[in-house]
Amino acid sequence: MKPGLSRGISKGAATVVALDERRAQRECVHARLEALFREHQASLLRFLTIRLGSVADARDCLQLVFARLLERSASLADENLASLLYICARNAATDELRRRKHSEAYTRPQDEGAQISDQAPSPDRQAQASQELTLLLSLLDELPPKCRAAFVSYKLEGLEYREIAARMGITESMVRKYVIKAVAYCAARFEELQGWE
Amino acid sequence: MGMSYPTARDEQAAYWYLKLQEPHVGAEDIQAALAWQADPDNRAAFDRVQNFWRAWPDEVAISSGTESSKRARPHLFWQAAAALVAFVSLGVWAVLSLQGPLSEPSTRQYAASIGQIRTVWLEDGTEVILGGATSIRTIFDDDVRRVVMSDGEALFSVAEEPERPFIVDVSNGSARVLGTTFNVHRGPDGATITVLDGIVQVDPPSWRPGASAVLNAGKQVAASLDGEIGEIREVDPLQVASWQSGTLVFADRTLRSIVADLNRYSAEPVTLASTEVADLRVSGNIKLDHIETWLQALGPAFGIDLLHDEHGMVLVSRIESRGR
Repeated sequence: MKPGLSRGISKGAATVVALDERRAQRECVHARLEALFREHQASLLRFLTIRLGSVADARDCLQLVFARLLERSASLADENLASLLYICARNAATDELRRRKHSEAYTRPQDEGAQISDQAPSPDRQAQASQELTLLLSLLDELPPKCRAAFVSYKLEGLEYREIAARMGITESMVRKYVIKAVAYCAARFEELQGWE
Repeated sequence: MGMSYPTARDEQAAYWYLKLQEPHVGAEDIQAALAWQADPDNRAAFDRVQNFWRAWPDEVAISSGTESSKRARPHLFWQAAAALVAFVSLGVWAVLSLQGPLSEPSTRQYAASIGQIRTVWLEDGTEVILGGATSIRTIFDDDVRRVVMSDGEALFSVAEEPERPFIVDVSNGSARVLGTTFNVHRGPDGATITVLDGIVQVDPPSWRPGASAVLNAGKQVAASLDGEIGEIREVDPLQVASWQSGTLVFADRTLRSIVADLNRYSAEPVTLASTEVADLRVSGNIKLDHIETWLQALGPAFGIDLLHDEHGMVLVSRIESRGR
């Protein structure tokens, strides 16, 4: 055997071992990810459905999260994978909501022009929606003033807790409590009043 | 607001629903929110909240469109109305509170244990955040809402009821309010009342006739143990209320009174070895989950050692501790 060749073989063997190790490691993370996906799939889907308001969108979003994470699996060895799963889902949902907002803004003029099409709400549906809105607004009148102010700022004005706190001159945690109280009360009342109709 | 709800479950549902919508909600909160909904009753409450939240059309949002700004107007009206109520009511209760109770009062007790910060809702909708080792008793009748507080610290967000004054009795004085937010601290040196929002009148106890103090937002007054009401001071109300988020802020207070507060949160009681140490005046911020670290840090600055004995932690002046 020529010395050169033997050197060549041993070097090649070392490379193979290193590649195998890396592949094994990657496959291990891959396997862990897949196991985690299976374990948390239902929860993640539920979470995304709550955030996005649509099961179909939630499924698409989840698919995207899995795909992205599997792509990155080589670099994920020591992280807390379960937490990462939820954080990725959360971020994907935020992206999706942002995308929707932009596309809505973009398509709105078109929608208005196309009101005659079958996509326009029926007069019945419009009347129902306006009735519902009246009911919602009247519920707010039942709230104590600060509770109402905090809720209106948060839900209708879209302000952040921090901004509302500054405006109302109270702590952020108080604002949160007011909003929670308003939502809890109105949600129960809303159901009750809808039941009566 | 109705008497039957929101229930604690409704509030938890609202809490978790809102939490899940936050852009930066953590993985632990997401999982906790989902675990909470595993219970069918909780899930029903959660769905109710979701149903309410989604019933709002997007275009009601105040900042977009002409239609929406029309709908938003009542909001401005409410804010103005709320501001007016706070002013007008000041004149009203002075008269009304002269009347005696006509009906059978309802009495309840609320308490937080050592180290606990707890939010309770009184029967009139008033929110009270109780600091560690604080208990209050409510005596409500048709004419007056009275709260008796003998020790500790509490932050009140009073539900507005112009016809029914809200009075906090701290035995060396009382704070009388209408629809407002204020902090009451009761320690070994007396009581301190700080107003975060609205107007509060602080009256001396009945056995010590004297002038009352009327406070608005950002004002604080102390009532000594013998019922004397001090000068009105300007303070940062958010700092005063910072205990509810886990930080005690002190400016020029005796260690005696600081330690009395710490003992409402510390798992291990803290004692002071001598009056010399107790009378020391200190300023600072204490994170309630790092009480011991803060006490240790007194060493280099004030010449005080933190020792441990079988009862807990003891603060000893360095000269004394050498003799031990």
